[in-house]
Amino acid sequence: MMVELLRRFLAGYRVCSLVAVLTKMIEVVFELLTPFVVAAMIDAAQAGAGFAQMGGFAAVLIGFALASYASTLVCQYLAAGVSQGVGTKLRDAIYEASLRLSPEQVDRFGASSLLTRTTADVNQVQLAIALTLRQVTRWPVLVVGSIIAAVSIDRQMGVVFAICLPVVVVALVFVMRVSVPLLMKMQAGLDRLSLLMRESLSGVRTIRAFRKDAFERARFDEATHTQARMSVLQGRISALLNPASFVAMGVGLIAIVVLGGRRVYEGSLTTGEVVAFVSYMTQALSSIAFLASLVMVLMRAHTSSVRILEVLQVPAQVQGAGLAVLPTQNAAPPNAATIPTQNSVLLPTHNPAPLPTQNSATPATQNAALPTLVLDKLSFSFAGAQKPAIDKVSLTLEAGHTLGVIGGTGSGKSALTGLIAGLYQPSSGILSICGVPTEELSEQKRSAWVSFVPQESSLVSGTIRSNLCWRDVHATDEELWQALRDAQAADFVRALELQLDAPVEAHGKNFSGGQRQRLCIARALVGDARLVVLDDATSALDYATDAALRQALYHGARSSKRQNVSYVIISQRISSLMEADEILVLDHGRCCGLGTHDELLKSCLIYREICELQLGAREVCHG
Amino acid sequence: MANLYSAAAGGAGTLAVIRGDDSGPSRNDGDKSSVDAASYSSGYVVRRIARAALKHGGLVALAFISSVVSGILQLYVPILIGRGIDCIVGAGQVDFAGIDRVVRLALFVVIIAAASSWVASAAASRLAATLAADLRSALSKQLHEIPLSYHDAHNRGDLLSRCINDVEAVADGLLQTITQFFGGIVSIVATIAFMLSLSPVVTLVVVVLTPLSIGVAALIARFSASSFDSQQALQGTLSSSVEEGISNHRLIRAFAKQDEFLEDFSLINQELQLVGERAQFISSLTNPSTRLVNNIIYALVALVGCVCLGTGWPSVLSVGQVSSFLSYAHQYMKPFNEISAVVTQLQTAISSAARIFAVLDEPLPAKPSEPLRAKPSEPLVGKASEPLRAKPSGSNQKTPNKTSTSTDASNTAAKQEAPNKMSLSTDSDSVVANAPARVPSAQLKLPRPVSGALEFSDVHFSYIDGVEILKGISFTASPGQRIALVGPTGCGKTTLVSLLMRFYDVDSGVIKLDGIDINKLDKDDLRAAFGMVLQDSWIFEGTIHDNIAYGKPNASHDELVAAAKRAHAHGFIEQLPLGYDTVIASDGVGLSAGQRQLICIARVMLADPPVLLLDEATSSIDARTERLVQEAFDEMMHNRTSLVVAHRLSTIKDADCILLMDGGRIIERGSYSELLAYGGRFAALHAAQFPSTL
Repeated sequence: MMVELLRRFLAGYRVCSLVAVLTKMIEVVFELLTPFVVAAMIDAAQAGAGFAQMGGFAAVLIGFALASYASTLVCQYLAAGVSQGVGTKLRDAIYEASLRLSPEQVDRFGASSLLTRTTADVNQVQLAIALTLRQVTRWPVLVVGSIIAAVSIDRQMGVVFAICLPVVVVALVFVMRVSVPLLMKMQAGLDRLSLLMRESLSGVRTIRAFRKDAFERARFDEATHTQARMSVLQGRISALLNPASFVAMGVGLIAIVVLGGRRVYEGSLTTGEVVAFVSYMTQALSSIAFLASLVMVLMRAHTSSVRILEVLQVPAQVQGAGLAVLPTQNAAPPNAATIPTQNSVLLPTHNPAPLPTQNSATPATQNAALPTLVLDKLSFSFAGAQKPAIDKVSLTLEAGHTLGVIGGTGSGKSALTGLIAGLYQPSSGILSICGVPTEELSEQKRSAWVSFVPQESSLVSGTIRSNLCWRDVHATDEELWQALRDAQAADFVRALELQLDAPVEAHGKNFSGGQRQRLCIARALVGDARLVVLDDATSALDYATDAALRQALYHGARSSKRQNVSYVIISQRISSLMEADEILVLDHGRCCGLGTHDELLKSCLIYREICELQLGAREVCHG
Repeated sequence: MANLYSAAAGGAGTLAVIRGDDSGPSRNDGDKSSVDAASYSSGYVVRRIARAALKHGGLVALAFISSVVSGILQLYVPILIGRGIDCIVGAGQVDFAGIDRVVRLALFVVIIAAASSWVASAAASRLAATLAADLRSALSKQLHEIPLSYHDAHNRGDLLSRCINDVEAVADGLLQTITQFFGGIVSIVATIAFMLSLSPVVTLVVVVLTPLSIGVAALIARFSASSFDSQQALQGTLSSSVEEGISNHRLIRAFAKQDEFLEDFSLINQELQLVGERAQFISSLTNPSTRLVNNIIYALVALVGCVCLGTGWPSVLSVGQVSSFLSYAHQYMKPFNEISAVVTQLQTAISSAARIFAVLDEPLPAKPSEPLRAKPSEPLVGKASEPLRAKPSGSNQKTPNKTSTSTDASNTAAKQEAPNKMSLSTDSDSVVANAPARVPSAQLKLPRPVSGALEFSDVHFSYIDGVEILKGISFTASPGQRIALVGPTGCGKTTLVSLLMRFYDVDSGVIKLDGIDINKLDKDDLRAAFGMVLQDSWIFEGTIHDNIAYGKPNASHDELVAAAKRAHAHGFIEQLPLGYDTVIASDGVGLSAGQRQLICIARVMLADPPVLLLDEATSSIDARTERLVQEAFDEMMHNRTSLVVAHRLSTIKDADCILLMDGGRIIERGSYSELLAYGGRFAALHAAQFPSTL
């Protein structure tokens, strides 16, 4: 997985990586030459060489040290560049992929998981790349180099190396083999602890009400002790690594002394060379434990790579036109590709449009006669779902009219908003907005025509102005205030010291739930949308404010330029949508009622039931 | 091995130490409330962890002794090898008997060193695991006993992270302290000692040059710290940018704002790349730089060693001793690197430990039977007036004075403002050092059967001193009556329910159940009289059966099914693949909100409590389940005193008495028709909410 990731993202850094590895090797070569020099030095000293000669040797050693330092600097510099560069590219790619996911995919990953993947997981990969360039190359070269150097001095002595090093590697592999599954079990155990604690925290009232504190404590303690037992076991196994490599090194050193004694006695080896062997042995094996931690880093990076690739490799699922490709090259036929897209917004009246037909590349206009929203036998299924989320729904929403949508969870309301928003493409049937079928609607046009107020308020950090100007960067203050007034938000914004430039914290946390919702509504009203979709957008408003808002939207603003704006109001509250021109009752994706409040009371059983629940039976009868 | 776990599981003493009951320097219970992790000095935190670890004294001793033994023996090996080399003088001049003797000894030393090194790390990791278990048990205990206000005031994710991640960090830190930190110090001392025994002059070369290496490392650390800080800051900015983008994902798509968001992100990302490269490069200089210094030391040791070897001046050295020196020079810097690598981790561990202690030190309520003369302390909000950063020595003179004055001040304040806040307790062990001795329960038991007569008289309550949520609530409910609480959010409806359950205690006024002041009742006994269904249905991971049987684990299956039937939950449960044995996830995935609520209702049905406290869900669900829920509620309320935070018109209509609350007061009360006829606030509210009635 890591390889796959590197293949894709290391592309521009091949040369740098190669140079980094090479410079690292140069460093190691100098380190390997050092014992040679020392051996010569010792032999010379024993032969009674003078101080000057010794100084010469020492100067060579220091020269080696400096040379290896210089090449390391190059390596470290390149490693930093490569790893951070790859990391940056990865972050960009993941974030871009996240923004292009469908809402279901985002939910499946979970927002926090996507965040982790963009940050922590990339950091892991980054670290692994850096360490690979800096350290992973170092160790094999050091080991192989030590063996070569040892063999080149004395073949028999080289055998000692050839035996000891594999032993250490085997020990390393064994410890890894055993402890990695254990580590994964421990992670699972930690997840379980986490789950139990989260349950205890979220259910604290219920637990106390049922007097189950002791029970929950016992449950958690038990899991805790299972976890402790596992970490003790894991600790014991991973604690084997250091002693094992130490024993290998110690035995190797002893073998060198025994064997070296014999070879020197025979006269085929000098004492200085024996000392060099000792140096090699110490050098090669003392870094073994470090290798273990490197392996852990690599394994963690592997897991992270898997998680990153999961995001990057998500198939571009039912995405709207203009999303699958670059926004400017939308899916409209070539002749309509760019110019009409621009013009349709800027110079709409120059292109009077016929009713949507096959040749719907013709841009829609502000012609009020065109229905804002047409659904014709519209069906939509989520990938892999057995039942359609929207099942052959047909309706027409005229300009300036209001459509109410009501239905329970799973009725298809959010699929409908998703379709209007272009998050999904219809499976069959037609959905057209201002006369343009959704397949042919460019992203810009759609976003210029359709405006949304989402269920959860969604302010971002910045100022009130920067939030309000989402749909129109050039909106004037007067336009903003008008939108705020209509959204019943002008009063509290005016009370702020900085008014439109008052800061907004992430998620609008410095505003109350109701204020956030009203700001989101105001945002949707900026920028001359022709269709405003309010998706359960008034749940945090009290009934009076809700009523005033609707009054402003339908009636107050009708006189102004918003007179032709259509509204789709999705709500759980009958009272929020009972005055709509038409109400769509959704049940499991099917339209089981379409008409005015009074008509539906007579004709639609489900609608009647909802009304009875919310308004009380007697009132419904009277109504 | 067995006593390890028994110690972890049982030892109240251990818990006491972790809690810091043995009055550490900064313990001064009673005058601090929301304990701030930042107010702990690291010295205090370390000492407290040490005390907690010392409860497992055997393990600690084992870990430390074996780590000393292995450290010394490991470093003895180069000397022995040196001696072996000294037996090898040259061709034809080898003392084989000497080699034999040295080799035997070396083999023995290697094995013992390896064994004790294993024992040291195994003991250390066992100690760490045990400490982690101790800490988690203590945290769990504390969080189950702590007043509910603490849960309400603290972020759940943060508390969770303290129990999981912070404990992990502390355990890790302890492990590293023993194996790397302490082990490193042992090696440094042993190396110097062994080198001295060989030749003070050559040792001098090494020791004099050591500060150079440390200095280089420190210099680099200082440089990298600042770039790491800016990297950290940028990482934070980047994270919040991602977080905003992803949480507003749908809307960004709908408004076609992806490119702008991506652009903003890329700018931060590029900046992060530059800063990151710099930070990484600088910090990656540490190892090569110390290695450079180390290599220079190595060269100088070789030079001085060989001069000694050749000329016998300034000291006499053998070849083997030069070899030993070279080995030491090779390994000498390693512990320094290890120690410096561990230092940041230790800092993390210390701040994690402080966060854990902050939870554990949160004072628990005193005993119930004496609410008014209990600890005159613990205002819910307010600064811990005695800074925990008490200096253990040196400032001894100042600290006590300051402490006592601030304690007095805060006590006085507490007496005036919140005489008995949180002054009631569960059955826990005595956990705070100066808490009054446990009062043997002067608590009354509720006479059974409970008839369910409720009485509130002039109840005042505030979460935060000076901000009253309830300002004199009085009402009565006769057995079997249904009381509906109506009013805007934040008017105190839910608080009222919490007071009945004694999640919180009243500031003044009396609440009576069956004529007995609930403050005089045993808390568990009181709670057993109530069944509570909350807005958000709490489901835990387990089977449906377990979830329903939560309040009555020994219920028979028939009883359970009967309860589920009465809760109208039986129908959909039967349709699940494994029926009652279906395992449901804790977030209830696969069940609709309504179904989850039905399970919670069945749970209460099974427990069959005499009094019901219901919080109706505001968000409506699909019509059919909604109807089922409503019928289940009706069924449950039949013939039981019930207090309902009501949103549904039907509940409101059928109530014997509606209490309209606003601003912490009951502003209108009466039956549905009475209130409508009165034409006051209720009528207005009703008109807005249910427009068709007009």
